[in-house]
Amino acid sequence: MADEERSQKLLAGARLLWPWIVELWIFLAIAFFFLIRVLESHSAQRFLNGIKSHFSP
Amino acid sequence: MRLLPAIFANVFLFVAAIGFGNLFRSLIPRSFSWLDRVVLLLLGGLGLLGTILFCLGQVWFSRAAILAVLLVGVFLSVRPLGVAIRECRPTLAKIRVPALPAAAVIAVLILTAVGGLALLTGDMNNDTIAYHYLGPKVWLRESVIRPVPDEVLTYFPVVVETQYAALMSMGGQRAPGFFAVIGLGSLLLMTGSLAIRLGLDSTGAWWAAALVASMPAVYRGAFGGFVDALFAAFVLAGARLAFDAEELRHFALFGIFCGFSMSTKYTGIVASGLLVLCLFVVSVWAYRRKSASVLKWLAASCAVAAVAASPFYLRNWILYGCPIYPPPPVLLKFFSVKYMRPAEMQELLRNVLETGRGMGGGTANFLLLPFHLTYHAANFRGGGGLGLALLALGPLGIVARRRDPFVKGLLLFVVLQVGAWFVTAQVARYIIHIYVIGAIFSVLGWNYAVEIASRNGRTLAQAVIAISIFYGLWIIVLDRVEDVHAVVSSSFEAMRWDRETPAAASYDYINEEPSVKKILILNRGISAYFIDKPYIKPFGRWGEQTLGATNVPQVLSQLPRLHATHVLDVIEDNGSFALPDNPPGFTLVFARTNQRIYRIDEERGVWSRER
Repeated sequence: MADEERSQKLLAGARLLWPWIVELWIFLAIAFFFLIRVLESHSAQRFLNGIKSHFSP
Repeated sequence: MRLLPAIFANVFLFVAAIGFGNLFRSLIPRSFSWLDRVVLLLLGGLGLLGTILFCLGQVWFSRAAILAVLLVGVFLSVRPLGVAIRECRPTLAKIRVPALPAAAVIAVLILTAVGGLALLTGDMNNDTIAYHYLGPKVWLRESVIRPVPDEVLTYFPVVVETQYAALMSMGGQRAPGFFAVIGLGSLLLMTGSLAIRLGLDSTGAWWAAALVASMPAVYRGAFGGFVDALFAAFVLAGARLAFDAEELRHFALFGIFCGFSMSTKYTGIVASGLLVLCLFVVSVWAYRRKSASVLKWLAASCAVAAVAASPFYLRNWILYGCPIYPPPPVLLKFFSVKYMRPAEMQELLRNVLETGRGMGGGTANFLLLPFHLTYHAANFRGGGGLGLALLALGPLGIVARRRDPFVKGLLLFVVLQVGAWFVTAQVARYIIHIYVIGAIFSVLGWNYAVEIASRNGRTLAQAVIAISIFYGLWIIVLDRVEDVHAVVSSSFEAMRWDRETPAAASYDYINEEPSVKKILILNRGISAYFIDKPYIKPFGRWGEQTLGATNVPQVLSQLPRLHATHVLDVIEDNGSFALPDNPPGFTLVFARTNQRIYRIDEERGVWSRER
C-alpha cells in the first residue's frame, strides 16, 4: 500500500515537473541557437569586433 | 517575352504529368483524402513521364519525340483535370487558409518561380552545371540519351533530368530552373498530406509546410537543377502509402514510388530497402499481421520497384557493365566495369568521403547529430541549416504521438535512414525527407507544448516557430536575391554572367561565331554545359580520358580524326595554358584574360601526323 502511494506521489510529481522540463528544453534550444548561429555569424562577429576595438584602449 | 516559353513549357509538362499520374488512380487506397490523391497522382506522373522519356530516349530523343510523349500525357489529363476541378471547389471552400504560414509558403514559391527564370551562371563546382543540366543538353544535341563520357556522374539515374531535357527542348535554357516550382510544390503538398495523416488539422499542415519551405537545407535541394526535393517527395510518397497499405494494389503502388526514388538517386536504393524493412516490422509488430502474408506483399512491392527502376539500371548494366555506375568498390567483385579506370574511381571515392565527412563518425557524433545539424549545418554543406523547430519541438511531437503505429513505423525509418546516411555520406540535402518528417513532428510538438505548458512555455514554442521561419526566409532571400535581380534586369544578368562564369567571353564567342563547328576543350575545369555546339573534351574532372590520351600532345596527335575546327584553352591550376604561345598549325582568333581560342589550320593535321 505504501509502495503504491509512493509511486502515485512520484507520478504526480513528474506530471508537475514535466511542463517545466519542456519549457527549459525549448528555452535552452533558443539560447544555444542565439549563441551559436547568430553570434557566430560573420555579421555578428564584425559587429562584436567593432565594439571590442571601439572600447579597447 | 524571353521568360514565357520557360513558363509555358513547365505548365505543359505539369499537365502531362497529371495525365500519366492518373494511370495510378485505381491503386490509391480509397480511404485517402483528396490532397493525398492529388499529390500521389502528380508524383506518380512525374516519375512515369521521366521513365517513358528515358526509355524512348535510348533510341530517339528529338523534340518531336518529346512532344509526342507529352501530348499523350496531356490527352490523358483532360478527364482527370475536369473531375479534379469540379471536386476541388467544395474541398477548397472547406479549407481554412491561415494567413501567416500561407504567406511564408507563397513567398517562397514566388521567389522560386521568379528566381528560377534566371540563366545559370557559375563553374564546375556547381553540380547542376557539371552534370544535372549537361546531360540533357548533350542528349538533345545528339538526339539520344547516353551518358556524357567526359563527366562520369551523367551515368547516374536520370528520371528528373529527362524532364529537364524536355523543358530545355520546349522552353529553352531557363525552363529547367522554373521546374523548381513543381518540385518544391510537390514536396510541400506531400508535407501537407503526411501532416494530416499524422494528426494535424489543415492549419497545422500549413505550418508544417511553412517550416519546410523556409528550411534552407531543404531549399538548397529544391532549386537550380538539384533533384533532392523531388527525391524526398518520392520517398515520402512511398512512406505515406507503406504504413497504410492493406491490399496488394497498395503495396504495388508503394513499390512504384520506391522505384521512382531509385530512378532519381542511387540513395533511393537504401531508402527503399529501409522502408520495406520498416513496413515488415510495423506490419508484424504493431498491426499484428501474419509475417508470411506480409512477406508475400513485400515481395510484390520489391518486384514492382525493381521493374519501375529497371530502365536506368539495366541500361548501365548492358552498356557499361554494372547497374550502378560509377560502381561502389564492393560491386567490382561481381561486375566487370567498362570504360572506367581505377584512378577515376579512386578520385570519386575520395570526393565522396571528403564531402560526406560531416562532423565525423562514431557513436557520440551520431547521438549528437540533432545538435550538430541544428547548430553547425555548414559542416554538412547544409547552407543556412534546418532552423530551430526540429530540435526544440520535434521530440515533443514524438512524445505526443508515440502510440500511433504509423508514427512508430515512420520513426523507425527515420532512425535507420539517418544511420545509413551517417555512415555513408553526411551531406545535408541527401535526407530532406527526414527534415520534412521532423517539421511535421515540430508542429505536433508545438501543439503539445501549448496543451501542457504554461503561458511562458507557449510563448517560447511560438518563438521557436517564428525564429525558424524568419531566419530561414532571411537566408533563402539572401541566396536568391541575385537570381531575381537577374530576371528583372537584363543588364545585370549580362554583368553577372561575365563576373561569375569563368571563360564566359569564350563561351559567347564559340556560341556566336559561325565558323566554330566543333570545339576541342583542353582543360578539365571548363563547363561544357555552356557550349551550344558539339565539343570534344579529352579530360574530365574526375580523370576521365575520353580519347584514351593521357596528355595534350597525345590529343593533338589525334586531331585529324577529331574534325574539330577550334581549340579552347584556358589557364589551368598550374598557372599556364595547355598549349604553348604561338603553337604551329593554330591561329589565335580570340584572346581574353586567361582564355584563348585557336582556329585549327588545315596543315595542322599534317604537322601532327609528321610529329
